[in-house]
Amino acid sequence: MKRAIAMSLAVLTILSALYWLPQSAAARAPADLCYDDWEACRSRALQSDEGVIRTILWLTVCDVGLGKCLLKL
Amino acid sequence: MRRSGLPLVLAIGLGCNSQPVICRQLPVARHVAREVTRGIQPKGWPGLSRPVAIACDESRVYVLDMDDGDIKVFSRWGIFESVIGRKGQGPGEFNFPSGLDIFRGRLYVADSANRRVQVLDTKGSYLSGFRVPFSPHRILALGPDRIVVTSLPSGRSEKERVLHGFDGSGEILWEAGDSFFSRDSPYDLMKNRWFIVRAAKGELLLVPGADGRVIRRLDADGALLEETKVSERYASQEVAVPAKAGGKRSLRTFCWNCAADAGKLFLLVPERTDDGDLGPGKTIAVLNRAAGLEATIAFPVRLTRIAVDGNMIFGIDVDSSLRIFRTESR
Repeated sequence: MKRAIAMSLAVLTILSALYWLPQSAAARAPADLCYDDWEACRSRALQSDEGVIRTILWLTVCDVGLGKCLLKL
Repeated sequence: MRRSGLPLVLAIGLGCNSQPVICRQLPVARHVAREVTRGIQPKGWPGLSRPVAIACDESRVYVLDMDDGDIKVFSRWGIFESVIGRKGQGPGEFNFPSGLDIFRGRLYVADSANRRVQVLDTKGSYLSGFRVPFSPHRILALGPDRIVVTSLPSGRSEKERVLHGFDGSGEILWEAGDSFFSRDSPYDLMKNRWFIVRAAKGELLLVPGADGRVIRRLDADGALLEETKVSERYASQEVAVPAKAGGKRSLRTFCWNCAADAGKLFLLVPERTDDGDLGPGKTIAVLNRAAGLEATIAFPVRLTRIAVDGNMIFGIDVDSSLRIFRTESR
């Protein structure tokens, strides 16, 4: 009986690992995309030549966008 | 009565900043920039979308276009000639490039969103490139085997390095320049704007975009050689900017863009806009080797980017047009 329970647990553990591993690998990609977009947003804001105050506002929008993007994941 | 020329000689020899008692400051020369006739662009001229960097050699002007992901090539009279590269991820293609330099017939591009550096010849042929572990912002070549790149700090941790030295194959050789950090990412990023320009003997100058008026001279290995405080005659302006939690913080802008030529540093002076902000200006301040204000050059338009070669100044105006000027004494 004990052996059967141990076997079942082992199978469950392996199946769980197989189930979760691809998901965790896939979950990293969208986060990377969020950060890629954020970096591009900041770079564009800094190159906007809109003036200091407006640039800071744009940079804030970039940060808010990053937060939203990460929350959606 | 004849006055002795000795104090003046001493002042020039020793540098005004270090000898305030002896120094009699020379008057600041005032120049004006006359626009070289704007040529009619050829049919099919694509226009500039978001020009973010400009460089010139003895025969052409190169403008890096961030949105189009290419380099537009012009004659020194401002006539469009060709396009180098296009948007993409392959060799010779760019994705939101943000920095450009030209050195000994090679174009160096900070290919920001592709997180890499690319080297091309002036005809646009791909020569080499390498990946970098961050989004490169500005780029400066000190030699084929010494490429300096700036990064934008993430703002998530203290003292990130903003200056990175690579060899020609992309191996990182050194890092320098601790970032400012106050847990207010937009504000911090504005304070972490640095410009890099070539100095004599394969060295570079690190020029602050905001806060502080100290110019650092580094060698090709990233070692700090000298810090020079810019003359107080060069006035920087302060602006109150939005801060975290709805507050306000002050930020002192130093320069909007800069260039170097013949041992002199050209700073594009930020100017107050109609709505009280500080933006691109119509004046370039010329600093000598001792960081003393030597001259000012007045322009008829606000400029956002500049490149200087002798008495020729190539600029991008606020309407994203290439403008070419010649300096004259007022």
